[in-house]
Amino acid sequence: MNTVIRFLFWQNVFNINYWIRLLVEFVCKGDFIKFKIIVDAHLKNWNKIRFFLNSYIDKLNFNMDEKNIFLLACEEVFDNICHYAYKNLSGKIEFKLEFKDKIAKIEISDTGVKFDPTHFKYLEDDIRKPSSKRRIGGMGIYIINQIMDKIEYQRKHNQNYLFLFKILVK
Amino acid sequence: MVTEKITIDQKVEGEQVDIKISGRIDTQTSPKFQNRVNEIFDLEINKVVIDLQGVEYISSAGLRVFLYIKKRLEIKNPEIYLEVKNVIPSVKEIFDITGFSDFLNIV
Repeated sequence: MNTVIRFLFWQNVFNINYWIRLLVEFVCKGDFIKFKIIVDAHLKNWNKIRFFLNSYIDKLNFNMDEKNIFLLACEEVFDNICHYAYKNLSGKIEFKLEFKDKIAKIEISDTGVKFDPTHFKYLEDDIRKPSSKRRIGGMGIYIINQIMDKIEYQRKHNQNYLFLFKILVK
Repeated sequence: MVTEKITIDQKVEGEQVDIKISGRIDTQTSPKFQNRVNEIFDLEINKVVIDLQGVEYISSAGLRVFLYIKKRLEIKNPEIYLEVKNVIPSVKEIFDITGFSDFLNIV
């Protein structure tokens, strides 16, 4: 029997040592699972965001490698949005993760300036350059392209939407 | 409270520096890693060994620190040998797909 579990969670603690604002929604219906969180786009928040993502991914019984692939993809996108879409200014990032029919979909959106990471490519030639000629940075999107099965970008309503897809083995 | 999950032990013996890292090397912890390794560039050394046995995860932020180390050592003295050891398969895979395995001397 299908069940739906849904809850909203707000944490809004303005404390110099511990602050993060999160809106979390979790839905579970049969083999369909999705959750979303909205976070402040600050690099220093990554550890806390990872903690929340991890706690939901744990419900899916992924092995360590699968978990790390998802966390890695989310971190690389988060890092790029902070640097390029918001240019290190404040803003929000929304993560939506959906799992259905052995396909995992990650949707990440922000309201920063237009930034299409699918056009920001680290080329195969760059990867094979000697270390002295390699540039520091730009590898995040390349990694996402390598570890995920499909990546799509849309710009609508003045927002960036990035969609990442992964076919699960199990 | 969520803490930064990385520990870095660094020791110098003769002309060799051994750096042992445990935890995750990501966007949050890599500045600490880079700050710590900055200490080695003033030393008279000919070999740097980075032990990643306790590292379970690396992102591009961590890779940037490895490239930074390699470039700084090449500028200081191209003869300095950089070795990375005890890399778990999932981290090795990231080194492989980004081409870092070509210059890191992974053993």
